[in-house]
Amino acid sequence: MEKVLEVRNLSVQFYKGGKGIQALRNVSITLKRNEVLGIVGESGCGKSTLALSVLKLIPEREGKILSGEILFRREDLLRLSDEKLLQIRGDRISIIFQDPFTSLNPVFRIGNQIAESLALHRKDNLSTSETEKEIIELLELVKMPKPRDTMWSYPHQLSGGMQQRVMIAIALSSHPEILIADEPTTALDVTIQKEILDLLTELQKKLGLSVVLITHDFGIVSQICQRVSVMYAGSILEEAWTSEIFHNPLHPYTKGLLGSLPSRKEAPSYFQGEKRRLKAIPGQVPDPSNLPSGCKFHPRCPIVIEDCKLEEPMLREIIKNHWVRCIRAG
Amino acid sequence: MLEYIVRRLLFIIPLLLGITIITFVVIHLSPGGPADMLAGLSPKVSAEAKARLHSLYGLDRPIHVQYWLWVSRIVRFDFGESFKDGRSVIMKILERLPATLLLNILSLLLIFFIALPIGIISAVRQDSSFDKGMTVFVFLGFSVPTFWLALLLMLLFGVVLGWLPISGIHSVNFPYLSFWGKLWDIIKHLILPVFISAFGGLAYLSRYSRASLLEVLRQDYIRTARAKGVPENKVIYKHALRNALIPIVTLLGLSLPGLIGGGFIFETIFAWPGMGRLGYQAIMSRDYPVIMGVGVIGALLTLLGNLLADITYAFVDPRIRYR
Amino acid sequence: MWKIIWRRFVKNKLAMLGALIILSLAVVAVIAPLIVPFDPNQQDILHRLEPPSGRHPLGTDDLGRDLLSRIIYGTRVSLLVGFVAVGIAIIIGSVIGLLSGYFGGWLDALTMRFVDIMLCFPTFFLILMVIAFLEPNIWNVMAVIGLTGWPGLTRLVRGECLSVREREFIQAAKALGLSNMRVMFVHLLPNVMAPVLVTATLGIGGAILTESALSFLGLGVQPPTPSWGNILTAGKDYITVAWWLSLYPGLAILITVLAYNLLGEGLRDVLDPRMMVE
Repeated sequence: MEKVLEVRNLSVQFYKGGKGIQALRNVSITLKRNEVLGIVGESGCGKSTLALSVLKLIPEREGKILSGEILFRREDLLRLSDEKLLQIRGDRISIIFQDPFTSLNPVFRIGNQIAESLALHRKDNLSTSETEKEIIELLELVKMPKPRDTMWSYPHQLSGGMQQRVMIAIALSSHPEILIADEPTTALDVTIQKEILDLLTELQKKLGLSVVLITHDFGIVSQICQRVSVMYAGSILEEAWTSEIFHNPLHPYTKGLLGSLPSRKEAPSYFQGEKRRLKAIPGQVPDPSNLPSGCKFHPRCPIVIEDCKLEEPMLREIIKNHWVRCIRAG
Repeated sequence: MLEYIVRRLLFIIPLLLGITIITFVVIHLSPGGPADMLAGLSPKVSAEAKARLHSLYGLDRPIHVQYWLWVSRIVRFDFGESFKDGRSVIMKILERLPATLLLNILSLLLIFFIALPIGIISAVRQDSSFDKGMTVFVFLGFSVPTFWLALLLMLLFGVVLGWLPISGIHSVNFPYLSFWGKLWDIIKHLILPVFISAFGGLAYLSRYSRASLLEVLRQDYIRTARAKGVPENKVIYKHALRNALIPIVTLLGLSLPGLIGGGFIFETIFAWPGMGRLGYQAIMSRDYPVIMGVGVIGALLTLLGNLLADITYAFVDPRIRYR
Repeated sequence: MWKIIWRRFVKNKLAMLGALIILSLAVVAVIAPLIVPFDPNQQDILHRLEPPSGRHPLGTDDLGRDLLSRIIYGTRVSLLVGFVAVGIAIIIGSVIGLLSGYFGGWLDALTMRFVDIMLCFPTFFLILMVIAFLEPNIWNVMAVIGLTGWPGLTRLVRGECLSVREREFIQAAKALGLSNMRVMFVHLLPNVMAPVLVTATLGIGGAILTESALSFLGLGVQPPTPSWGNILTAGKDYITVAWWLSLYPGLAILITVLAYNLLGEGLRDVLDPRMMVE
């Protein structure tokens, strides 16, 4: 399968209180066509930073991309001119965010906000009535009840689920190749989460999207992702096919997340798509301005040895297509 | 939204009540109030006027009755007659009101059209030399005594350079000027007072605009706009500004009372024939009916400004307009 | 905690500059009699309205009095008015704000209604009105500025109270059975003081501006006592012949108020909620 997006050795720095903090350290991921790639990790591990970096959405005052490449259609997105970047944003690559309420502009009507995307990215000039028709079709695509009413509404008049559907509609209005979804269901009610996830799954298959799904919930991963990368403290610790990682997690952190440290007998039940909460791993996520030496997970690792503290391990392919960053794996 | 406006209006009634009570209390309870002053009236005021005053204040009645009598007259805008020249207070005020309003409205417009762009550019180019320079300017603007600035500018433009007149609303030869001459004459007289009057507000509003825009630019929906591929200048001028303007526009309505309050000084310095100067002269000459009249009207205008600000806010923010 | 505040304060250049200027002014005010070249009230009609010279570095006024000396003495008036007026406003405003914010209920509603009414008045005119009925002198000026200033502070204190009151340590104190007075003043107050301090500092600047405006209009400090504002009255009258009378007193006001504003804004950065995390 062809690669549609490739992030290579991306390092990103944030400014906090005058100091620079490394949020991403040499991160690489690959997204294949029609694939749903999951990026999992606790908050603060850098997964959102990764998402934002793809489209260079981190404001200059807040952070800086230090090094790396992001390849899309054989071009490095990080070195594109501003105009060309605008053509990619919202057009070939779309992104939806975590909190739909704050992500929609409160003073413009929904129809207006969708129409803006259409105007920006559709090459054919649509007349007003054509635009309206498009908008309604898009809203129907995302299963919005009463699309016509919604079109004239303001964001605050809609529920969280409806707002997120609008975000999706906006994102898909240009028929993008890639959709990045940054924790799309985290801010929603539990009952709505499933609906939105189902919607995303359906749309992905229907429209042939390649999706990067960012989440902290392994349950969601099991439901819709084919491949998974586990992130911690700004780098990838493990990467494998979803089924593989559930059956055979190799990194102690992943095992901790899956709550399967003692034994793996319960592994099959993870497949039922049941919600898995993060089991508490003792200790805390390290302060990014004060990372431990060697392997960043070592202070919390149940199988740590002296060598772990010395040097950060490399990502090794222990089994085919299953990479791990741990000297004790395999 | 209608419900919102009605609620605001209802809110005003106790405020109005409070204003009248406080004005009444201030006048009556301070030494040198009506009771004392009645004793020392100048002979210029006719016997009828004195008698009218006596009944107007009902000075021989208990205090709450006095208050009630006074309020019932106030509601009809009957503030009695001036002690100085016996003319109706309300008439004197109405004569001066247009000049004051002209000054204040022009100031507001000036403030808006200058402070807003300054604030926007400062926010968009945060920490640039422009921003830093403007910050210095704003600090100075907050610290300078405006009446002193008025004096200095009068000195510079009126005396040293002789470009602009330094008092009044029109020159001595006004009636003999052509239409355009008259217009230009008034404009020349307006320049300094309007500028001084606007100065403090300029500093404040440019700071406020900057803060408001910065706050908006931090919001998630701005990130969404960029993610949609909206060009940066549209992000700022369409998406951000529309939101940032909401509190700014509201602020303008609230600035009106501030201008009216400050007007007392400017009008005096520039001999501007407005309500402020009338009030000041009344205070200096202990012309109580006029003082009370100006005080109540001033408070009323303040309330009006607040109400205007509230209504504008309801209009401009869809979250209030459509519940 | 105070140590952290102190360190941050010292690092803030603007705040330090403001503090420095204020300190110098305070010193000048205190030792005024020792440093003035002339008696500020000593008239010398022969030398009236003289421009700045070696003898009179800032010139003389319409009665031949040395401007520099008068301005030095004016420092006393300004600083005194600033502190006392704002002091009054803080005391009244904090107490009422605390009571209102802590007890809530009808007391709160009533108080806030009253505060709203007070804030409706064009402040300056209210001050003018009251001063006009009272005798214009420095004490009345201080009192009136303070009395018109407390409503704003009350609103501020009450707002802070409302947010702090729900925090755990207040609940804990109440659960321990501490009397309301104690909880309010010993536990609640220190945590509410930060924004009050900032507002107070900025308020001193405002009070000085107000006092000078009043004195300028003849309703504040009366001559012969020198106040920067009432010197400017003469400045206005003699503007065509004695520019120094207009320039220097205003400059003094500007520098002083600027210093307070710098200090106030600096304090605002230093006392930012960032550090209130404890």
